[in-house]
Amino acid sequence: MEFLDEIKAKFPNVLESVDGSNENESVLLLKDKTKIKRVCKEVKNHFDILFMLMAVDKPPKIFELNYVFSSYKTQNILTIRVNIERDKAVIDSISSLFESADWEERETYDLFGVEFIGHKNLKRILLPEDWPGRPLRKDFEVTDEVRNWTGLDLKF
Amino acid sequence: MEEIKNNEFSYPGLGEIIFMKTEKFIEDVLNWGRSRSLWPLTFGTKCCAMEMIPFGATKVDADRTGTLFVGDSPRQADLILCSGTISKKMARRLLNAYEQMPSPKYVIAVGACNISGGLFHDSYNSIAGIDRIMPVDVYIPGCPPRPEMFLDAVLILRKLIKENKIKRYENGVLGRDKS
Amino acid sequence: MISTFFYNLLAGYLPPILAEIGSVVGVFIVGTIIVLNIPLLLGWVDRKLSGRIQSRYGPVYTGPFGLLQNVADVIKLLGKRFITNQSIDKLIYDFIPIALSVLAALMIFVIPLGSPGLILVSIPYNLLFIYIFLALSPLLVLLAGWGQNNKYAMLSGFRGAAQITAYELTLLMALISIGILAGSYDISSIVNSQHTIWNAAYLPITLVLFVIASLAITERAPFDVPEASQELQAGWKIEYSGIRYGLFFIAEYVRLLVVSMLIVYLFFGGWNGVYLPDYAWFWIKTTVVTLFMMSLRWVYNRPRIDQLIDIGFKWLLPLSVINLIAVGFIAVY
Repeated sequence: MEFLDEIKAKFPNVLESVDGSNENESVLLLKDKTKIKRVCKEVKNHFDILFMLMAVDKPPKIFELNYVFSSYKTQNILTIRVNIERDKAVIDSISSLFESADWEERETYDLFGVEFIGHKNLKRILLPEDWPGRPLRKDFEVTDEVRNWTGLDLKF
Repeated sequence: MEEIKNNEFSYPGLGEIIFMKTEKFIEDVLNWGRSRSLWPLTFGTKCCAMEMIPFGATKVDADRTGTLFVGDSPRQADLILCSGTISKKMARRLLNAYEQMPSPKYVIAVGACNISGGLFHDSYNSIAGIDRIMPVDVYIPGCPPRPEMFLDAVLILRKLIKENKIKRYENGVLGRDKS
Repeated sequence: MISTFFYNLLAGYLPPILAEIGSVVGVFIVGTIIVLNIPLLLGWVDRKLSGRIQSRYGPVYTGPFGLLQNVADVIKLLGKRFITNQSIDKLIYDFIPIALSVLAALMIFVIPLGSPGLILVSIPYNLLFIYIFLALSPLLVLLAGWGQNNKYAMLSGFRGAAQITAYELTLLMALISIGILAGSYDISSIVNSQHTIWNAAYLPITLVLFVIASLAITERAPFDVPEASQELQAGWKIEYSGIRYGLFFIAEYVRLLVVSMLIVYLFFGGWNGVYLPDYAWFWIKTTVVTLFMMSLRWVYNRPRIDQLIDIGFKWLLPLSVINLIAVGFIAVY
């Protein structure tokens, strides 16, 4: 767990361990979302890839972003958890540090509407460009309008 | 007075009869050729595409009915074998491929997802049945259907072509070969 | 010779000039009928043979034994709509299918059809004429790729032209070695020179080279790299629809038949044989060779484009040059 202590030592007040994390799969909670890029820069010294970026919708206020890093050499897994506001879902992009963050961030933008500042190509990845709404938000409802939407100008 | 005269019933002259008979004959010959040589464009997505492969292979042998898998571009296809769930992003590509085909063209919808949306009928991102976006002639139910059912569908389509009951003609979307 | 036959037929009733014109028209009509029937028959044979090799039936229901299947295909292609993009080069786009099929048809006009007299237009050195008609195709393939204004068609056209260029040199070398041995480029005299022993027994390496090269320049499988139907979409024919696409079938099958006939003429003694009349011998041999060429399609797998060019330039061309030199020594001593 040396790397954990090293990372925490660099950012003394903003990072804290979350209960239930074990030796190989540790979870750190990042309190200040503006520091995400600097933390990830530090994480890059110990981990190779970002293999998952999960977003969890916690309805009243919060989107919980989980950046999951992994190391080929030690097989450790580190999750950095950030809470951002639901109304103003904006966070710095880390796609310049981790290449795989490119598509993950686009997916999160596509399905949740979280905006990543500094992303070079932030557009929808799974759904059509002009699709209305963000489907994985909890307040999204599958109405008839959504079901019948084709985005095509059909005349018959 | 003129109008009334024009509306009066009159027997067709000999020239008209010959013209009509010739037109009918040419249409019959063309329909015979069309019904006997259906070259499919395989728009295979999901598991139904796996069943589409044995349709052309040894046991079912699509070539018996003249359904030759030329494996070529939409420009040379008569029939689009459309299978699997069509997501809303894919719908445009599907329609694009369909529009590339020269008319007369026929559509066979394969599998539950393709006919009605199937498992994903309630999804926000799938088309609940491709008949919402294009005229479908024959439906093959099943999840996924057996390869023999493809052959059955082609035979049904052949019958429909011979009887001039193709969807394209019926709903008058694009008229008779004028698209 | 068929044109002389028509002339003699008409000369009894008409003045010589009209008889001349009439014989040209007659030869044209007969040749066109022959050329148009070749793809119908060979296409059926191809589909049936492929079915049998894959333990299928092939076309069954259309006509007796599915014989009318290709007629139905042609009728359908005639009834289909022409799609022409606005961005295409209209002249080239329309010209290529006609040019390819006419070039293929011209080969039928100058090749003997099974016996020394049975030839539509008799010209000296007809082997060279046939080679030229075969060898013009890379230019047309390139133009076809260009005319469609489609990047995939263009790339495929490059591939096709590269392949045909690589192999037609080998074909030319094989033809030259035959020509040196027989002392003529006339097919009749080449056949007559094989009266005692077939060239196949005499020049086996040339035969192998010729078969490989002719498969490659007719773009038949296993050398159908430009339109590898399992990997690509239609190759350089991608934009063609309707009967324009059907014209390519005429070109393909007529070229296949002509190449098979050439193999019989150059290597298997042409119409030489005992007991049976000469045309019977010739067509029996041609049938066997054509079936062999067709069945190669389902037996061997397809090389990659780089392997194909490698085989052509690094192995077959040097081998054919060495072979040519060896044949030259044989002919001199």
